Amino acid sequence: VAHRSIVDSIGAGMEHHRMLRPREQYVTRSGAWDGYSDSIAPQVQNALNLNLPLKSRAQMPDLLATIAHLQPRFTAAVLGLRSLHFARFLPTVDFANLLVITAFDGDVESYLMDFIGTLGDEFNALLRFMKDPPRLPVQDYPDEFAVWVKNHDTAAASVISAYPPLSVLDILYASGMRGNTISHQRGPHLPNPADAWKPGNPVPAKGSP
Amino acid sequence: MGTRSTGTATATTTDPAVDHDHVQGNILRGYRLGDVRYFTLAFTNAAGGRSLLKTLITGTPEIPAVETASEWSVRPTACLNVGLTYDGVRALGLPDATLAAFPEAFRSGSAQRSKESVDEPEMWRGVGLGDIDDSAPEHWIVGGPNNGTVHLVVSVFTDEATTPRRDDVTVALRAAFAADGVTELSTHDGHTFPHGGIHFGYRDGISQPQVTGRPGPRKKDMQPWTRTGDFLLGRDYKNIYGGNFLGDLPPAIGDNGTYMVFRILRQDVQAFHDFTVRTGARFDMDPELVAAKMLGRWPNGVPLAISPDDPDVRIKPKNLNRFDHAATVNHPTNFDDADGLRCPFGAHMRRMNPRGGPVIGMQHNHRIIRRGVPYGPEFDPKKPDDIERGLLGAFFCGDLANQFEFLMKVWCNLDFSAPMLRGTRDPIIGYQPPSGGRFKLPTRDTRGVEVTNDLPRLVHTRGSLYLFVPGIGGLRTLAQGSG
Repeated sequence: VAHRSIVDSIGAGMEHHRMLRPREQYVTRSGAWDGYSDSIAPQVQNALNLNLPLKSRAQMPDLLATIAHLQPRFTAAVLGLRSLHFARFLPTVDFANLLVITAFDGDVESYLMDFIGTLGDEFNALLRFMKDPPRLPVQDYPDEFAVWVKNHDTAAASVISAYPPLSVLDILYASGMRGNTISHQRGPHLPNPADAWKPGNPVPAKGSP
Repeated sequence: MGTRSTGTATATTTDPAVDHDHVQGNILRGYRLGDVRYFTLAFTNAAGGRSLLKTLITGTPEIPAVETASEWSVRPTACLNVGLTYDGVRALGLPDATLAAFPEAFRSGSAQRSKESVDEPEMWRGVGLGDIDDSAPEHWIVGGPNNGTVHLVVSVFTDEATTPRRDDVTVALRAAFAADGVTELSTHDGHTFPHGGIHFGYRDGISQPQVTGRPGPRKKDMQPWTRTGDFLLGRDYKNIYGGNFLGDLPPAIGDNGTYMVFRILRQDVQAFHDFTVRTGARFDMDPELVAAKMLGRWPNGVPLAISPDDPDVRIKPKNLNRFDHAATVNHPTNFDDADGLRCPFGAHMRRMNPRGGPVIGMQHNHRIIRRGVPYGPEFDPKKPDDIERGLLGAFFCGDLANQFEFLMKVWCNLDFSAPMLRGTRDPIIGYQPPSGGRFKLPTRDTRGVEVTNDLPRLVHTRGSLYLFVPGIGGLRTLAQGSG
């Protein structure tokens, strides 16, 4: 109960901020407060912990350099997707495996295609370092990529969060970062504000925006 | 058959031209014929199934040939199309390797996918595709475990008011079924209403993806055009992800094909009417406004995003779909309905197509083409009855899992994909608990957000099939028994 009240307080604050109006106006005529404890999903956050063996330990420095090189793209992409709380790339001490530790909203299957659509070429670049990768490019074989991801996921025994019902979208929205909603409105015909990092474009120099 | 002009449409993008002669009709463009009859069929053997396909591909004097996407100069009086279930393509004797190349969702079939979707982890208290309670597959009249196994669905579109042909075509088709040992499992008739609406009173079919490869001009709707590869299979048809949905399916079978969900949806119009009246009285709103907030448009099709208070605003029909919910890179001065004050985030239309509004993930990659036709008589609130009425839905997509199923599972029946959805499901097509579901009605006055807790389930699944709709070349390959 105490936990829920804290969550509701966060939710209430966010609703307040989002609507830019006094909270009282969101207590409905029937007296029901529209907080987060009534969510269909009590916890929207999920974990994906990939344990990925490399083809060769000797390639770990090159892999880490590639990740660093691609970081601006990853950052821009996840900001646009609004579903990833964080991702960390960790080499094991023996350089045999790369650990990818993530927290995101929703389930893997539902949103994996969004990541493929946004970061497909980046995934392809990283997967070439991996032992027994799925068929590439992932854009053409998404189902095999999904199975591969599932097979390399180490299920978390438990997921602990200070704000389990809040999504990235909730947090970004509460912080006023609404303008970012435009970053993925691109079709084949629209100029894309994020073209600087769009897959297929030249890899940006390290540290470039 | 009417006179048709053949040819190709060249997309103004990098998308390749589509040879519309090789694509079945009713996908990239609708027929605008008022009546439809669906036949669900089962083959007795592969030879009979192939023989029937050959007949349908070429047609006879009485049976129209499978209609294509080519443009007409004169509209045909009858248009026929076909789709096969996985059981159907298997019954035609395709090799195991080819069968395995179909996507998992299609191979599993609609009923199994509905069941599996509910069995998924309960972390989100999900109801999967929403096919539970009286909508569960065991209660279906088509496609469920207690129904006959469907192999083929034949649809015949006619206009009975002007050039009635349905009965004649039916007689000829039944003779062809009998000659090839094909069993007719069921028929389902639908008909459009003169006002162009559906049973809930809304005008339907206004918003469709503007596919680059479609015949004819595309309409400007402030949304990105949809890539051909999001709907048609083919190695050269790139989808929004930069890949294609053909996978390992042999091009001889898959090229220019697509997937279709055939869904029989019962609509509880009495409950909808009662809810809008009750909610309107409770919140001092016109029931028509309540209905508009549930859908996102006024019954005449005017979107709340353009006219939140007045349904009678003068707006050209071509502009009914030209709006957005947010300011975007291409329309930076567009009104940003970031609080859902014009169109609620929970409105059916905004849930299922958030356009430029905020949403988790990509906004434009789950679109489907909808070709729904009502069935049953129109509801008259002054003369309530118990007659079943609803919609015969045909929903097309290149990826069943990431388009149709994503929409139903995530955007329709979960509550965290966009702001202000918590505790709610799609008010029109979503599952609602027996005790009543929630719906939030943001008002544009000092009351803020009104919330109801007594929304009944309005749409119930009565049947569902996942179909492969081959291109004309694919149909020929299947009819020849190769592939």
